[in-house]
Amino acid sequence: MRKYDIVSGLFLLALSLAICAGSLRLNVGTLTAPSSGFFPLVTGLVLGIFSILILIESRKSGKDIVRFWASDANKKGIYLTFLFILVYALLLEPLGFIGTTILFFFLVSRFVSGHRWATAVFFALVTSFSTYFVFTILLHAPLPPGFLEGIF
Amino acid sequence: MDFWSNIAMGFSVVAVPLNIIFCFLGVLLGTLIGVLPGLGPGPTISLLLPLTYHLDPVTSIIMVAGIYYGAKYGGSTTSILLNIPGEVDSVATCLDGYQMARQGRAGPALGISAFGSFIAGTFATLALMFVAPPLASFALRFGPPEIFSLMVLAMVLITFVSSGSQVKGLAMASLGLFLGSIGLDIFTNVDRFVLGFNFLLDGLGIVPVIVGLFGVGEVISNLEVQFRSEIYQKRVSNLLPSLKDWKDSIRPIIRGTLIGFFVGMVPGGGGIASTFASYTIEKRISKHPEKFGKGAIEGVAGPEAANNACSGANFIPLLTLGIPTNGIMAIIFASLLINGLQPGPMLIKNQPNLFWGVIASMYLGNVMLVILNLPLISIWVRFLTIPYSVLAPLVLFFCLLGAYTLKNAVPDLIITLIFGIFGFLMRKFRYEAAPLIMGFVISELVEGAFIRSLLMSGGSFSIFFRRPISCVLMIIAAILFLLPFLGRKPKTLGSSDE
Repeated sequence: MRKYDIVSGLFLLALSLAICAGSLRLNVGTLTAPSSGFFPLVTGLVLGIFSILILIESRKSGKDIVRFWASDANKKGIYLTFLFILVYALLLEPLGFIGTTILFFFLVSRFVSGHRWATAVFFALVTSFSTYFVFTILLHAPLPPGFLEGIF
Repeated sequence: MDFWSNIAMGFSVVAVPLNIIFCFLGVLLGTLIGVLPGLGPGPTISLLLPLTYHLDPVTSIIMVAGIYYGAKYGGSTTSILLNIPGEVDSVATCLDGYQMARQGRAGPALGISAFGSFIAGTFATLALMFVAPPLASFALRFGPPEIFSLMVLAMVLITFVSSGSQVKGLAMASLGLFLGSIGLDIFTNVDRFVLGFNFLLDGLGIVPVIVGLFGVGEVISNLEVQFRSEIYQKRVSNLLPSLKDWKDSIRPIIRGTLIGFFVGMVPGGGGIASTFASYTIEKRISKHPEKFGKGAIEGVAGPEAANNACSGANFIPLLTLGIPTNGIMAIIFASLLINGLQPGPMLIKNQPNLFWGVIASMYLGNVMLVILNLPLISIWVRFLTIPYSVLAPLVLFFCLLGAYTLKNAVPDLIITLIFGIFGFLMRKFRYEAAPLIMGFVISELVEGAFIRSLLMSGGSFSIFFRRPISCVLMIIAAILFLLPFLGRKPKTLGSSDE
């Protein structure tokens, strides 16, 4: 665990330095007249202090080797999930809600959850159309239109 | 308006058909997600936040509260039948509940768990009614220094009782405070840390951050290792505990209720702390401690009562002081903010229909939960057979939908993804999400109180120690902060947020 504490402590220390640097570029003001950079600077300093304490605490952490991944971890599924979320974000407005949701649901069901093609397609169609119906017709919440939405 | 008129008003609010329907939906969903391992109230409430934009604030909070305490009921079913806690707070119930199921006594275990939860939940609601209004009146005396000190104490407390490192928790709280300050400065109207992205001018959205950390982060963590376990007793019968079961359980239920209520009122006092406290006490005072862990009904009754009393008490600091006591309360805090309501001492005064309506809904919700959890138990048992591979795409999709529909903005999906990855890494590096969420949602309040205090004192930090209430709060915070360095941190406590 020690290695993880050192890595995370150093990351947080770097982040705190970046926050402090960014705050100093804003107007910090004075104690009697604090300005926009004052509060972020304080949070950056406090984060810096705690990240140093994490690094000090890491010396007490056990030297036991903790693996990042579980022994039979579904690593491919995790990476793909992050990728599919990114694809969903990028295609949602150009392709429309129904088309993108069908694609997203199909990809996650087929390649992350490991469902059969037919099951994945069925889930994708049912979820996207039913959600579209609930949000646009029942809740009157607009969702991005695409060519499939033109059907309704 | 006197006490009884307030209660009558609360029941008149909850008697509206729409509120009854959403109270039922809340406890139903709560039970469902409590039963399903790997899907907690945090992600569920966060992914239902978009639905609350379209509802009346009172209705949406009634539903959200129902999900929270409903999940506590449902969590015990999975613990007893599957030996997997449906919720982290139900871990203690696994110890004896599962053993009872193995001995063919799943029925009485589930029965006493539901009745114990009902008694504790009703007591907590009653006590909430009596404790909250005077506490809120007292808190009205608080000025900026007291508010700041109270927030500092809340952050120290939530990290003090967490299961992980306090220093890591406080680092996360500081990071949360910083993240909450991104966007336009409330005092000077200057943009901060927007890095040229105009969508950040309004700040990081509460929903994308919470949905990312809790929803996406949790799904990804669950995807890594699949659940595999054996269900004992797919058919459950004889749910009504015998006279002997009642005799053995009634005192543990009373003690568990009191423990849960007092632990729940303390910021950071999560269900898991109260359940283990109750379990330890029952085992210690029992004439047959050797039966614990082998199917003692007292080991189910006490912790279940503690857990449910705790969930009711968790609302006290939130509704009276504006302090979210754990991660889920932070999400409820966020849902109040989204609905244009500021949790804190003024809430009871300004929104009496909300406060008393939610309380009245808790009585109704507890009755609904007993009905849902006893006669319908066979249906819940069937839900246990739904594989996580079916749930995961659904949860992920609703997370994304929730993040997007707040502002119909694609950048919110990217923020959700970033915080999803961050939430996953936090779990790997043993950092808790609750302090970060808490810091994030109270950031504006903390900054306002801090800056105003400095302006009041002419730039002197001594203002936090010159005023008696503020000084006491700061001293308690300092003691709690220093205790772990002296090796005095209790090792068995843990927060119930994840």
